[in-house]
Amino acid sequence: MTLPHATAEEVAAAAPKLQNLRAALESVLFGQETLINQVIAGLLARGHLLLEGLPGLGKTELIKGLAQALQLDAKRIQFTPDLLPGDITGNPVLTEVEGRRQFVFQTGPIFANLVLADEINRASPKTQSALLEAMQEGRVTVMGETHELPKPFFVLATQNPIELEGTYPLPEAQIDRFLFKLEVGQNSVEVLERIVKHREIGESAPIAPVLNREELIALSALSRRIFLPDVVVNYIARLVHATHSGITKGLKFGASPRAALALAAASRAVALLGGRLNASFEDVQTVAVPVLQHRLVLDYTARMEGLQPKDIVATLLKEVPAQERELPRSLKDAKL
Amino acid sequence: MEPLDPESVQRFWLAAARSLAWRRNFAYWCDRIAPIFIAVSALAAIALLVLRLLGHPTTIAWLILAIGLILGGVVAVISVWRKRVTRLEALSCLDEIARLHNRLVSAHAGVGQWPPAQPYARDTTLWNGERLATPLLVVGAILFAASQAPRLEARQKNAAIEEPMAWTQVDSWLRTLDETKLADQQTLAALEEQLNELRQKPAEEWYDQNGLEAGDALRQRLEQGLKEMRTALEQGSKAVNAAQQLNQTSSLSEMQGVSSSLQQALQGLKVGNLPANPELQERLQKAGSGNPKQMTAQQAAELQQRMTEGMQTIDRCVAPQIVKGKSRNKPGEEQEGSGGPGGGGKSQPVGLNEQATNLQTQRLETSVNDEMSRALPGDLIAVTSGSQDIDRNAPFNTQSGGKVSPIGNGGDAVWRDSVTPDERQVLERYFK
Repeated sequence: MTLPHATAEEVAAAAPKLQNLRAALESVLFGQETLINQVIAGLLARGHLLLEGLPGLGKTELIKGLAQALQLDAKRIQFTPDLLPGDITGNPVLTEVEGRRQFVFQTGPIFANLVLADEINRASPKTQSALLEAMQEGRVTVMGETHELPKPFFVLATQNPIELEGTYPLPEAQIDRFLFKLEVGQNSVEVLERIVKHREIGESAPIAPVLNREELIALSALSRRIFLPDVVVNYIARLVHATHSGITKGLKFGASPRAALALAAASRAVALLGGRLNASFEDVQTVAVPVLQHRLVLDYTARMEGLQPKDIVATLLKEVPAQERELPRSLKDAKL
Repeated sequence: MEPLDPESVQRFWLAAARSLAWRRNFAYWCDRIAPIFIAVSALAAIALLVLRLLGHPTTIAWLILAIGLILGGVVAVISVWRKRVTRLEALSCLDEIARLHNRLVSAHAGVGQWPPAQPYARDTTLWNGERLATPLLVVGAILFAASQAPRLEARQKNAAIEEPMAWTQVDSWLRTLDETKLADQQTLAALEEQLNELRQKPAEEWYDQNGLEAGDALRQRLEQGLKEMRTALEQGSKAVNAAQQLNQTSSLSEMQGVSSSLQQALQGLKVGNLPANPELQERLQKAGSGNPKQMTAQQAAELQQRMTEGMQTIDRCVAPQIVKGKSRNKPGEEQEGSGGPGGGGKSQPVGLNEQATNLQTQRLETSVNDEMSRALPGDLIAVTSGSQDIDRNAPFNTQSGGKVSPIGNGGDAVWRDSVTPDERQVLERYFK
């Protein structure tokens, strides 16, 4: 079904709301404007986010602030090796109801709009896989009974790139379900000064709500109606196709069609954040690294050379031209 | 720049897109035509080279080049058409160039408004001079090289073909005259030039009607000139002899007669197809201008010797009309017998032996024949004197027993002996 394209008025009306949300999050997390934009874009694109960074960089604080600003029901799960699937999804509990003993499903922490899966790679694969159905389908099935999750439903997971001993790297099938993998970088001196001046240990920054649940759903729907030109669709397809083994050096497995869909949705969200009616090549390039980097599997040679997936994506962005048609050899770039 | 109305803005961007598309499509066309251009030019260069080496006109090579380029251009257009830059793609390029976040393609699709016109939003690419110039240089080089190939001289080309005998004869006479300094050098040079012009013609034109006639005319003119010169020399020689015999008792009329003879001889050497050497003319002029009796014996002897040598030279050239020991009837020349009664076969190419024929004797004379393909073993020519030995008692009618070979009555002889089977069939049909 083809949705009507977003109008200039709708996009203009969304701009202040998004600006307010951005400002609210920036008041929580200093000096991470790019990260904040990507998180908001992820929410608009209805995607789950995987944040990777060292402890203490504000990942949890960002997600808590997001929950407050959006007035969403948020739950936090600290993943540990002994965490069981039922601890996440909930368990049937034998309860006496009207004189009869029966199992009643007690919902787990996953029944929330915003689930913070902290250090997700510390849980066992079995527990991690419990998130699969929830992330993809928006529902959980326990003992043959399916339970719908509240809408909107977002999983914001974090993982620590160090202290990998005793961790369980996320399987490819599961990691593919995260829209973005965002890297939380170190702060600069100026940002650290601001943090020291405006924060106290153990105290969370107060955030006023800027959007409610319905507004978030409306903005998300508007994001889906952002126009995606054919040339941009073609660019996305060529970009994803170029990740396949044999086309680009250093890759063992490339991105799936889900990655192409993720690129399209994320590009639309970035365009909406930018107040534009259409997605563009630049929007695709903006989200290419967070969308693709966790979906690529490097081959042995690339790992030995110390390459990271984001390096490969950066190379792809340089080598795959936005325009499908090559420049005639009779012409050359002006190098302006 | 004043802001334009929406329609003008749209026109501006569409015009810019059209311009960009044309530019890139033309560049694609250049890329496509380049190898075709080189290939066609190489073909034309080969043709040009071959034609020049053969000495033929080179028009066809340039025709190949022109037709090849036209066809190649059409093929290149078809090839480019399938992958041409469309207006939408051109708008996308402009989007990228002007960093418009694909607003142009969106506006083209009806989403959003056209962005403000940007006068400098044009294709930022440059023509690749090296890429464009290389095929042109390559083509120019090979065509230039081919066009500079030495054209095979007609004489070299025709060296393998024997030239007509008249030309050989003229050439021989000219050489003889040049060696003996008998004739005027300018006249000889002019004649040699005419002969060379004939030789410059393609060999296949040597034996056509025009070529043969031109050669014969040249030979006849030179021969006529030689004969005239010989007559003049002979007259001059006689006049010098007569002048030597003049003495004190000779009358005035005798002196005038000798002087007149000398003048006539001088006139004969001056005019005509072949003037004599100016030096000889001058000496004769001196001898005839004054009193012939005043000519010293030494002068007369020298003049006499010079004129005698001249006559001998001319005799060597003109007198032996038949080249000894050589067949004059080469294949393709002077072939007789083109059919009809008395014809039928081709004449045998026959030349004469070096030994002169004495017609008064009844000795057999052998004939020589250079064209062995037509010669028969034991070819003889018998020459007799006296009347024919005819057996008048031989029967005229067919005899029984097949004892004799009847010669037939009247025209029967023609029927039996002189016509070919085909001709005989025609005659039988006609007189039936």
